[in-house]
Amino acid sequence: MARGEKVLTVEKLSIDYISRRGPVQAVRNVSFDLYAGENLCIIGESGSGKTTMGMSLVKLSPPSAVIKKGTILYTLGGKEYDVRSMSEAQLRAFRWKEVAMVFQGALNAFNPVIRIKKQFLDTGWAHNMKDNKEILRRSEELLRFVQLDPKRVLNSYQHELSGGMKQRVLIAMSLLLNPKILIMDECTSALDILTQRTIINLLKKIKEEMGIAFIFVSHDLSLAAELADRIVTIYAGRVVEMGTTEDIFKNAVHPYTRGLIKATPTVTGNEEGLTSIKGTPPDLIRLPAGCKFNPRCEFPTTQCYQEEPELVSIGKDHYVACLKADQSRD
Amino acid sequence: MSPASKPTSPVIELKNLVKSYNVRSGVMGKSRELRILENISFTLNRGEILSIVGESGCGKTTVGKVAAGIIKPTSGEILYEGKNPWTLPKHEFTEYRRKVQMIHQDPYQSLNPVQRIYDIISAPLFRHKKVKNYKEAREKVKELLQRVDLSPVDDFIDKNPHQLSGGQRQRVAIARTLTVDPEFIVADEAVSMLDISIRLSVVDLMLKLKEDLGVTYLFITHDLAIAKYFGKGGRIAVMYLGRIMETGPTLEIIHNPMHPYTRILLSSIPEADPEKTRSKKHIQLRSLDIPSLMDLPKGCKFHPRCPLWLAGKCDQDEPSLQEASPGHWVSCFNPQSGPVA
Ligand SMILES: Nc1ncnc2c1ncn2[C@@H]1O[C@H](COP(=O)(O)OP(=O)(O)OP(=O)(O)O)[C@@H](O)[C@H]1O
Ligand SMILES: Nc1ncnc2c1ncn2[C@@H]1O[C@H](COP(=O)(O)OP(=O)(O)OP(=O)(O)O)[C@@H](O)[C@H]1O
Ligand code: SF4
Ligand SMILES: [Mg+2]
Ligand SMILES: [Mg+2]
Repeated sequence: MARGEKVLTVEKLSIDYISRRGPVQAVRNVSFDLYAGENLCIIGESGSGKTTMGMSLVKLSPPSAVIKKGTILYTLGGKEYDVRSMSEAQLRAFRWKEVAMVFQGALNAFNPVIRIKKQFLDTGWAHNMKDNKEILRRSEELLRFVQLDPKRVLNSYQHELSGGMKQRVLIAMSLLLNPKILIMDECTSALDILTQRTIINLLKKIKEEMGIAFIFVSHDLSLAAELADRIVTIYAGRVVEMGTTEDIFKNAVHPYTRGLIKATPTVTGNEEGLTSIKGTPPDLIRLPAGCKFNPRCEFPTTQCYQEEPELVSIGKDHYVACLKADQSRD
Repeated sequence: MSPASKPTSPVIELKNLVKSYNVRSGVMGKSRELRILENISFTLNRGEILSIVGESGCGKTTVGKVAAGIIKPTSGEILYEGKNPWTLPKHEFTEYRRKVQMIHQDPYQSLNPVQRIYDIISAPLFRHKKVKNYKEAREKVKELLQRVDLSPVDDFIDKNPHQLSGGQRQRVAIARTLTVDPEFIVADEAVSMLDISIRLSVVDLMLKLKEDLGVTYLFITHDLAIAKYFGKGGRIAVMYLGRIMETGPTLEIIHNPMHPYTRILLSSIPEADPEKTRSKKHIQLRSLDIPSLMDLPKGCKFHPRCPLWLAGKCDQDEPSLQEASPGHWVSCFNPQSGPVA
């Protein structure tokens, strides 16, 4: 795939949550770029900081989250948006219109007592779309695009829709203002196989036909295998590997990425070489010294207990943060 | 072979089992019968694994609860070691409930958060008089924690569940199950909530218990890849709207699915292999909507969505399970064969 323009640069982003036991280091020194029209998947285990990072990209972090440092810079339609320095008013105009998001647990985010129609209208009004007819025309078009019956859905309340229908309504709504980037956090994990398949195919269609770039957050490697152009692996709030989907699945270097792949059974593959990752996720308040993966790593060296590895380039578009990166390649 | 396994004796049998509830629709609606399970039959021998797969609401948990004696079937028969538990005298029923244990999906809700791990595991030991005093209980709890790989055990024994990760909690739940020496475990989505990085290790632990203790499993999941991994030498039953649509040896179902529903499920699953998953051919459904149990279609319950339905047949008559090859049963008027995608 020919690569588009760079639309987002995240640089050295660090986010803590204030907590009684001390700061929770949920995002640590994260850097990555996003290009127009690509799908970038962020993978990592539960609690690794994926949602924290995703929310900060549109400045929707909860009050207890503190961005300690870093840059979040979008370049869209020839304009630059430095999210960290934008005002609430500027952000309101920016969200949905430039960057839309469907967040984890959003299926429960509908207002239960108003019809879906009103929720589309509200979204339009909040962004200076004045013409109700036009909002509804666009809503109907998008609902048809996500394979729903617009007449029926617009007149429904949320409890009248199944989980898969709600997810498709949310996706349609997120497209209302023609965003250029869509951030989706675990948007299929609560859904059944057949519904999940519908959503996957829909996301592919949105990417192909509308040219929208995706940041797709998931702990499910099979979704990344199917949807991603590039994959970012995070461990303990940090990017430990980044590469093209092919490189990540065929030539992963970081022991954590390799471990994730080896721990994921497939239906058609064979079971040989399937092994679990030992140990448990780290405590983000008391992180170990050196490489944060050292308690679970199979062959750590003394250096791994002393020094935290930097993310370094090891090939075209392939980056890894492991002190043994040179030795662990196939 | 472990001493506990006598390979051919059936542990549990379900025969033409039906479960229905009376539900009221609307404020003044009349009571209606909602049939959740229809004609479910299967037999599990000692040390075998049967995986039940299917979409949300198809009745997997209900089958598990019936098998574990938690809910009573409306009609049909359940036999545990040849006896119907619902006709047993009370003390024998209690004994049956001990032998059959259920592990639930949510490791966060199934453990009491204010108890220590020691309390959680020792309570059933005292209740079933497996230990006499504190010292014995402590020893037994340590032994069980060791068995589920929660070591060093002294680090865990006095902790509360909220101090443990999801995978560790599920290990505690399994250790608690083992206190009563169960013969038959119903694992209801027991690993679905766990992170990929720890899921496989809990599955491996459950397999080890089968080897060491000869445990028989009813393994409920919506994840066919996990069903294949866990139940490789066992069987799979695919359910849809309360019915078994297809059942057979695990690898046979994966490689030679015959029912259109099974084939669609397999063709739809994304796989953690970019080449494979992107070259898969997806079989299309006729309709995305699952019919409601309140308003089931006539004929084959899958026909409104089935791409292979035969007009005039599938919308009129309901197929029944037929043995297509030894041990492989399919309920369909237009069965297919060969691998999908
Ligand atoms: N509001 C909050 N206050 C304090 N700590 C928080 C808060 N939200 C999240 N955390 C902690 O921050 C860390 C990262 O959480 P986050 O939700 O970003 O993880 P995640 O990778 O999205 O996990 P999952 O896959 O389970 O969704 C976790 O340790 C979590 O407990
Ligand atoms: N006590 C009850 N009264 C009425 N309906 C019930 C009752 N228990 C379950 N049901 C219904 O029976 C059907 C099967 O439920 P069950 O929990 O067995 O499904 P499942 O396959 O385990 O689903 P999931 O994958 O979501 O756990 C559902 O439609 C459910 O709403
Ligand atoms: S019986 Fe007919 S409708 Fe039902 S699955 Fe078979 S072909 Fe499809
Ligand atoms: Mg999250
Ligand atoms: Mg269930």
